[in-house]
Amino acid sequence: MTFNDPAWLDQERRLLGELRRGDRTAFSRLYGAFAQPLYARVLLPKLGDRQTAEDVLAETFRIMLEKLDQYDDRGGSIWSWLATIAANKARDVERERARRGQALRGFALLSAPLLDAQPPGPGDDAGDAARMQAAVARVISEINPRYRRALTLRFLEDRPRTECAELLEVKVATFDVLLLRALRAFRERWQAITAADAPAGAGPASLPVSA
Amino acid sequence: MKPEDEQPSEEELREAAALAAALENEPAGGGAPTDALETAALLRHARAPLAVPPAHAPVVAAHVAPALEARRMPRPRRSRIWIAISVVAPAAAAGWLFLAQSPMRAHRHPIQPKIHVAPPAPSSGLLAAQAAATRSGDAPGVALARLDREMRAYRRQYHEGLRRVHGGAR
Repeated sequence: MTFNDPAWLDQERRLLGELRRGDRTAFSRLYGAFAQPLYARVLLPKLGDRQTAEDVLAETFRIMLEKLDQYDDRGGSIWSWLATIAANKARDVERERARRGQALRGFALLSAPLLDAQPPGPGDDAGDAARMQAAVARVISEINPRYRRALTLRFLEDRPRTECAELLEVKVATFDVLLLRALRAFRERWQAITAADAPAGAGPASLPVSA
Repeated sequence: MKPEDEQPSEEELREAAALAAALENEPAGGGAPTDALETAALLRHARAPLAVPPAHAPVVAAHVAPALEARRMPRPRRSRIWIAISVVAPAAAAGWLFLAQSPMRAHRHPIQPKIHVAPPAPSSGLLAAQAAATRSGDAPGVALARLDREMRAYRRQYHEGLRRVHGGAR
C-alpha cells in the first residue's frame, strides 16, 4: 500500500481529524506510518548520521503538530508536506555543520534515484532497506576484486584501516589511496546502474523543497 | 576511475589522507573529497537496515507531548464572544444616549419633579432565557430569539409602570 492508496487516504484523513483534537493514539498511528519512510528516504540520506537523523525526525513531528492547522488538504496524502518539513530541517542542520567545518556527509544524491523509483507507503519497514542492500551487493560484485575487498573490509565489516591494510598486505597510506579509488569506482558504477533503473522524473529533484 | 596500480599524484595522496581522517572523525578530515565521503556514508548505512530504532517512539512521544497537550485544551468559542458583545454593546450605547440627552431634557422641563419608577423584578422566564443565551455554544439563534421575546415582555411591563405613574402621557 502506498500513501496515495484511497484506503490509506481515508484512514489518514480520519487520523488527522483526531490528531487536531490532540488524540495520542492517532499520533502514534501516524508516527508508525510516516516515521520510517521519513527516516530512510529523507533524513538519513541527507544527514548521513543516525543520531542526528533521529533528532530531526522528532523535531519534524513536533513542527507538524504545531503547523497542522496551516496544512492545506488538497485531497492527497500529508506525506509530501511532512517530507518537506523534514528536508528543510535537515538542510538547517547541514548548513550548521558546514559552518562548523564538519566533514560528515549524507548520501541523498546517491540513494534518491533508487528509493524514489518506488512510491513510499505506511510503515514501509523492509522494502527500502532491502532495495539498498541489494543494489550495494550488485555494485560491489561488479567492481575490481581488490577494490571490492577494500570496501568490504572497511565499510561492510567495519574494520579499522590499519587492520584492512594488514589484511591487504599494504602500507596504511597505500590502503588510503586504494580506498579512495575503490569508493570512486563504486560511485561511478552505482550511478550508472541506478540511473538506468530509475523511472523518468525520479531523483533528488522530485522532492519539493519548500512548503 | 584510475587503475589500482597507478602511482598516486600528490593531489590524490592529499585527498586519501584527508578522507582517512574524515572517516575517523578527525579534524584533519575537513578537506576530504565530497564524492568519496558521500559514497562512504552510503556503504556504511547499507550494512544495517535503514530502520528507526523502536526505542525512538517514546522519545518522540515525549518531545511532542506539549504540542499534543496544547491541542487538547479547549479554546474560547467565538459564539460566546459574540453573545457578550451583542449584550454589552447595545447596553453601552443606550447608557451613552441616556447620559447625552439628560441635560437637554432637564433644560426643556426644568420644573418637573423627578418621579422615580422602580423597574419590575425580572421574571424567571427572562433569567432562564439569559442563562440559555450565555450557554448556547454552537446554535445561539434559538436562545437569542427567546431572550429577545422575554426582553420585549419585560420592557412592556416597565413601560406600563411608567404610564401608570405619568398618567398615560406616553
